[in-house]
Amino acid sequence: MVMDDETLGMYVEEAMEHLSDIENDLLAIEQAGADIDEELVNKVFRAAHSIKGGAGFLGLSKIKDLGHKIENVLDLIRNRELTPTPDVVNIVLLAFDKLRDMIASAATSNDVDIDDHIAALTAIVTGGGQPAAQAAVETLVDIQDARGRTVFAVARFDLEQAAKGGKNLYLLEFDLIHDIEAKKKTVLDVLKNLETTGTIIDVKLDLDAVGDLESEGFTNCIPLFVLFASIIEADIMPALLDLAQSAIHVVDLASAPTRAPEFAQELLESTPPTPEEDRTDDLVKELFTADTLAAAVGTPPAAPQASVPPKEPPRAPEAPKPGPSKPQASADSVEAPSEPAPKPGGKSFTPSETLRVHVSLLEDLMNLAGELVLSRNQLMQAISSGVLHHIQVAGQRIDLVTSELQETIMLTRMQTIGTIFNKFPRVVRDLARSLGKQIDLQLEGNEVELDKTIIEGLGDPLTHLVRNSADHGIEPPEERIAKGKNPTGTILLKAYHEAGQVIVEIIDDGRGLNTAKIVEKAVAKGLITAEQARGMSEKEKANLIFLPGLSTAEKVTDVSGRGVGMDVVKSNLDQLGGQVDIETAPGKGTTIRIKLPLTLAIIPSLLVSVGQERFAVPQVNVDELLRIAAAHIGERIELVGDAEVLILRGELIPLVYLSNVLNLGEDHATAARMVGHVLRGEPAPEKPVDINLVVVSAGQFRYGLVVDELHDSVEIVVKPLGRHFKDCQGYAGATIMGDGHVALILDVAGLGRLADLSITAGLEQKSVALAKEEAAKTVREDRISLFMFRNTPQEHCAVPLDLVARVELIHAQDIEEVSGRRVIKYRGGSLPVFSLDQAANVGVLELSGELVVIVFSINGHEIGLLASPPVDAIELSVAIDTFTLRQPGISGSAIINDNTTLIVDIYELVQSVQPDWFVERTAVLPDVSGEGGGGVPHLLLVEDSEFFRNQVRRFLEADGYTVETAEDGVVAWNMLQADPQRYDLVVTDIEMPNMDGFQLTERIRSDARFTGLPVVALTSLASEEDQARGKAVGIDAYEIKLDKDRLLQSIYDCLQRYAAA
Amino acid sequence: MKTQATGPLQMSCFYVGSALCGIDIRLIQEMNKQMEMTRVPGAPVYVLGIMNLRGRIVTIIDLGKKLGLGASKKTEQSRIIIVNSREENIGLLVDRIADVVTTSWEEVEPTPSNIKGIKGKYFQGVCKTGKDLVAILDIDTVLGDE
Repeated sequence: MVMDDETLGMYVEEAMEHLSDIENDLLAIEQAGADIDEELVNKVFRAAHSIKGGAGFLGLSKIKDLGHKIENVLDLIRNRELTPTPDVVNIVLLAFDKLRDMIASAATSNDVDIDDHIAALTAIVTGGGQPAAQAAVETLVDIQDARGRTVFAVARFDLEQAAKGGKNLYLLEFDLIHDIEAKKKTVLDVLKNLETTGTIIDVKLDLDAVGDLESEGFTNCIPLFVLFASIIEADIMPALLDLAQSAIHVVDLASAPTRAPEFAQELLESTPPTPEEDRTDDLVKELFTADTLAAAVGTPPAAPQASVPPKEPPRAPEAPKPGPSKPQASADSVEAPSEPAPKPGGKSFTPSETLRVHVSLLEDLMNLAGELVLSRNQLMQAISSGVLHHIQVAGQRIDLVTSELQETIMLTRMQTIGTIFNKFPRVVRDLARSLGKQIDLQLEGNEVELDKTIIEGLGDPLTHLVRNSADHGIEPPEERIAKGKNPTGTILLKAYHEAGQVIVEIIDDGRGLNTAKIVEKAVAKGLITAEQARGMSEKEKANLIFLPGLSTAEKVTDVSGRGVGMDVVKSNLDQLGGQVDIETAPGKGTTIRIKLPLTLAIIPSLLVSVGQERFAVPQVNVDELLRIAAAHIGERIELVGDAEVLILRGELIPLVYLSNVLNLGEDHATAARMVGHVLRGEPAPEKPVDINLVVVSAGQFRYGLVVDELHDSVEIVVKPLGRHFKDCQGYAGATIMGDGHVALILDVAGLGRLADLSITAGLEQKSVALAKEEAAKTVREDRISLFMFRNTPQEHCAVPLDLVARVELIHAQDIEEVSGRRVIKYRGGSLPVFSLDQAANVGVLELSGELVVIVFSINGHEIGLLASPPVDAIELSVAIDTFTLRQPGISGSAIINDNTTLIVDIYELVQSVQPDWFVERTAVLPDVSGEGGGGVPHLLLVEDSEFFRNQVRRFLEADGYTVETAEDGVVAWNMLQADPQRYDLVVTDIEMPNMDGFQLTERIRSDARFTGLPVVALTSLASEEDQARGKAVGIDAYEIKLDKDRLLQSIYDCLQRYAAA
Repeated sequence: MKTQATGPLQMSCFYVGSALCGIDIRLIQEMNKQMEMTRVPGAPVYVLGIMNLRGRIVTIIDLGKKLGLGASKKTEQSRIIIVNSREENIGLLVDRIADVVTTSWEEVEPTPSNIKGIKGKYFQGVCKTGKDLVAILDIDTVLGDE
């Protein structure tokens, strides 16, 4: 047996490659219809042909038969004798599917039943082809070798097709031993070589010809017969093929002895007479069994009935089938060579996993390996010489080469996303057919490359999402027409790079998600509360679909709704380190965006430790790092029920102690004991410790992971853990550190589950946070975030943190003086800078050494304030004295960390430095108050923080408004009640004690007296969710705390709008 | 393959507690006395930890615990035997290495149901060498993930 695993493996691999593009090509052929793209059909034809050829050689007769039938159909299409209608293409597609299955389990393919496919394909050929075709398909021609043995029995049709275009038919007899083995060729080489000059119709290895040791005519050769069609003339064949003349037999179709005269005529027309006179007549012998002849005659060629529906040709059990496996009806008693024996039974063949890598990449790797060896030699030399400097140089070099080597090796793992994308045209086409929809699938970014593991893991979730889009997203044509849309829906699959990640988008223009329904369901299933739902933005609502146990399928269809929900998609993507996000517009469509890392094998990670043990936390999961000084534990960590939670900017984040969740033992639980001591009065640890924690998030989990120490961020190589850890949640693998020790990589989601954090904790958390916030508000005074800096090293200053855009460190030399203004070169442009002393009466900042530039963005311009380091950001409760040190540019002072600190009013400062940046609005104030008197709009400012109240009030007044203030919603409401007509506009904070801005607005909106009263919210709570909630209760505009100019613009716009209404 | 195996057999022998066990030498990749390992909290009790074996992560198993004899003590004589089981390298902590014994599978007798307190299913058979009885460990069963 010539077939060994390696040959078979090569064949399977190659065949699969041929098959990989076929679907899309066929779909393109279908789309083109009668307008045939010959190149494309040729391509598919060649693929089918190569598959068939190899299969014949390897004795995979069923694969060969099927491939052959497909080839016939394609040939007709290629010759424009058959129009590739969807029905035809469908049959071919199905046949290719079968072919793929069979090739995948090549060893058992001979046992597969392919009659249905063969029948369907034959029906196409006989039904749609020329009149003679039906008979020709049925008619077998025996092709015999020099000794008169029948080598091949081929359908006449196939011979005719092959001989078209003036080709000659040859029966080539290679000898495996002398012609191939002895010449150091392989069979595949020979066949491939043949393919370049013609068409291989059939291949057969004649093992019987070898005879056995006892037989007399022991030939010492293994003949390999190839039936070959080529335009090359017989006299140059021997030279071309390196084959003896005697091994090349010319097959003459025309010499077939018996046939109906019409056929003869036709054949003579289609087959040019073979030029050689010395052809061996007896080589070919036509065999007409009685019934094939009858069949041939029974179809009168004079009555071409192309429109007759394809009908099943007579298929008696002994009906001739092409290929050597068919029972020979030959009158010659020459024993038909049996087909190559099937594979030894039971031994299944699975092709080993292989990867295609560009040769240039391999060459790069070789070069780098060479470099590495060289560097190693240098290092060895340096070590033996003992010169430290040389060792360092060699070390650097090795470092460089290693990184490059690593990168290059990673490149070999990269595959294009096209490998997954390309299967979707077929998926969508089949779906569209079965759902009765018209869907146009567009692919973009096929060439984007991702790591092999990610590509492999992406297939399933992506298929699910695309199916969802086709099934639920795209409407049926009638519905689309009724909505005034194009009846053909579009699904766009798009991949592109962004910020070191790959984004995959699935965009459809269908009906969009019914967020109301999702919310209803989520509430009904108790996944969220109605209260929470109200506070959600549309986007958040849409993203609820990823919660476990929620699926929007109204009806369970064949396509989706098989119990696999979007939550599975999400968790699959989570495993790949991906994030998924959904956006939807009712009636317009849905966009699902998946962010994926380029590779999983090397990930940036944060190292943390508990006691002596180190762990790596993947950087994608890390939100922020916090250290809580022992003295502040009481302020930052609270008990909710008996759970410890971190208060982080108004959000409550559950704490998970790594030492506890992994049961590292009592001696590692210092941090937990410390917190327990502060909050619950438990015994204190030996000495107070600061609490280090990492705020992590993964999927629905977000929590604070408490560790002993936080270390560096490093790139680590992920190594899998062995099978004994398959039940261990909490680890994503292990990695080897620089010192050779092993560190475990934490699985943030797994730890969350271990710690029993509920999946929806993140959602519950928020409402708890809000409630907490309100409760806390009543007891604490103004809490503001300040950015601390110094003017001169002795002068402490602060500015509200929200106003700071960026901070840059510069050198005094970087400052240039241009036409009386100071600028620094910055991001390719000039940034105007100024120092505090230019606008306010403070100490003069000496322009030397290192300086800090605090960049503010004001009215769309950027400006930098020069200051001295150090800088810091703090959040604190402080009383601000707005009187003692008040001056233009300085809104007041406060005692912060025992220093008198000037609070800088950046707007006033900039106004004096760059007055032209501020548009004078006072002049164009609308006269809205009318009966209110005076023409000056009367504003009610509701704000609990005295600091902000004064700040805002001052610039409102500076802008020409009259302003009254209230400390909270209740006071404001009473003032409004007292004189409903007095105010033209309300500016309110959102977070306030007693009655917050939302409640106040709700009251205002529910009272008919205030229909003409605009409400502008001024807040630091600016999440989308908050904005949505604000909109819902009737807030007209939402402004972030202390963007003065936008606030003024917004107030102005509101007054205008209401005045017009 | 419990008893069908034939032909010569070379066994590397070692002590787990007081039990003399052997492993077909072809299954052994190496032995070392590298005892530095990282424990994996939450892993099965018989897993001592993981170790860096020239860039590969190798799971180290306390053979004594795994066989139900109680934890092995790490001493000067302790060794790690690295075996290959189902495409994975796994390290076995044993108390002491003994000789390499050459015999043949024909000499191997069926396992009694219990050898010094160890379940019989972990063995492929027993064989006499001199005055000692060596129990041949069936690595894939011992390291099966149950």
